[in-house]
Amino acid sequence: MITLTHYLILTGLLFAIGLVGVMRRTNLLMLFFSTEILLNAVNIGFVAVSKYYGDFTGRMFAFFIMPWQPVK
Amino acid sequence: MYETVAFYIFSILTLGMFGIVVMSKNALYAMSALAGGMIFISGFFFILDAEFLGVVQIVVYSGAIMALYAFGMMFFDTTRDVSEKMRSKKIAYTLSILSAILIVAILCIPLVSESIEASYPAIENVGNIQMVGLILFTKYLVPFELAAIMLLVAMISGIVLASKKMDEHLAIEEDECEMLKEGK
Amino acid sequence: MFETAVIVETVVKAVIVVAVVAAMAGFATFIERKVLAFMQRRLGPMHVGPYGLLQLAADGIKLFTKEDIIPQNAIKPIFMIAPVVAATSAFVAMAAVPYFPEFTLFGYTIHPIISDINVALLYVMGVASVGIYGPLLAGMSSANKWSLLGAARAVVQMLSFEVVSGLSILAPIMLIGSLSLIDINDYQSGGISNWLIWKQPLAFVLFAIAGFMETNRAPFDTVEFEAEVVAGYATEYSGMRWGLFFIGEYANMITISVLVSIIFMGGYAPLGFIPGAVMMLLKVSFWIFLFLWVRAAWPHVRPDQLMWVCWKVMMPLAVVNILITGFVLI
Repeated sequence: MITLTHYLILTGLLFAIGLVGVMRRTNLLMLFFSTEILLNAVNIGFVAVSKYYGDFTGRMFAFFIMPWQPVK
Repeated sequence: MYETVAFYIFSILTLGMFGIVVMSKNALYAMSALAGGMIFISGFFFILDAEFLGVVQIVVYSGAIMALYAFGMMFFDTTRDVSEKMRSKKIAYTLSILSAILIVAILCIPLVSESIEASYPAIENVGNIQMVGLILFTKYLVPFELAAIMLLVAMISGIVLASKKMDEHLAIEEDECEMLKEGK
Repeated sequence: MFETAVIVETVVKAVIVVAVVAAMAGFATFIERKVLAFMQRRLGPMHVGPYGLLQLAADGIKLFTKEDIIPQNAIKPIFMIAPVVAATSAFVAMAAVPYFPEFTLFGYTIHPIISDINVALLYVMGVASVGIYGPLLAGMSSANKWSLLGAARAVVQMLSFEVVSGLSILAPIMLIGSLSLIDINDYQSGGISNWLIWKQPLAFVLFAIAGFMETNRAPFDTVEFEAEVVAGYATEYSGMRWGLFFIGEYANMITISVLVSIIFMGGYAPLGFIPGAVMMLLKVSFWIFLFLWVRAAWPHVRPDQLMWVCWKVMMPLAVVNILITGFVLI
């Protein structure tokens, strides 16, 4: 059975990968990629929390994170 | 049981893809892996009963990364390797320690948060999209409008940045049209 | 136990859909050559089998046995998966499309849809637009300037039509109030006068044009137009990898035909004495024929004309359509 902890571990791992990217990359475009990984990791965390607590706030937050992509 | 299988498959795929994005030297590998990873993330949203968010993830990111590809095409030859050097080891170590602390903190959250209650509990018999719509246009109307304004600002600034020579191009085209008409 | 049954049923359905659509896509190439030939007063393929019917098998044998060439400077893994991406995304998009009304076989009710998710319409459009990654990756990994030009055109085209198709489909969704294709179909089940094409003629025209752009069909085939960019993204491809691109293209054509039939033309609702399944087949065949007809009849447009018509004509029209629909609904 998959619990919230599984999703949070995944979020943490993805966020760490994104951080590694931000540290490693010097190219601007590659930096963009890493920041997208960071945002998406956080998104998974929000949606997982919203599912396991039966609350829609997290989902809404994830929804508001998405428009940042085209803005960049 | 199938949820477990799906979760592990998607986790491995996503982690692998994002690993390639971060570590690869080739820009094309990085971009393709990023696109793949974004689509696998929408798989998580489908598992978590957030179908609308999953579909929006596919649509938004396929478009957004497409634009990044376009930048990539303009900026560098994708068949060559990108040269990057590691600098400032100190920052790297600090950040990695910070991220380790962050992961520990994340793992501790479910332990301390037993008393959290949902402020917008999901209503029975109301579909996912209807629920999103209900909450989006009542409680979160102001952030929604702000997001719209943010997109508008980004669009206008993009047009302003790109349009410095737009008049000249139009003039050239008109000239060409006139020349064509005279030719006839 | 129940879960296992669902999984087995889904897998069987998926295999059937992929097999049938791949076969239909192959057959559509033959139909295309025949229809184009008749429209241009030629005979088309005639030598292999009766009326050239076995030309299909001959083409297949040729594609499978041809050498699979990978250019030396190409980025090998991406060059190799690009056609697979094009074909797979075309088939994955079909997962949420209902083809026929539900029927009973051996006392077991079958819904001819692989997965009835409640955001089916958005899902199909999104995944179908992912299909443009095929040409894009192919063009960028081929190390060939024509391929790169084709890929650049694919990006431009995708960013243009995506807006139009999304906005044009919004007005019908507002009328119906659901994104599920089954609900959309049931909404117009009361005969021809209930078809959405009468209520939303503008949205219908815009969506049809965007569908032509999405499938890279004739008036908008800027991505692979021979006279301008040799063969576009497919310049360096040969053999079955080249064939996969075209299976994807024809599968996309079928998806768009099914979508237009369901959203605007009543879907699989029975009409008089004609059962629903036959109506669906007739509508889809008509749309495939229309794709070929347009290819024979219309001249090719330039990429800048395509962008002009998308952003300056079709997008404002779609927005106006949404506004009018909103006011009428209120």
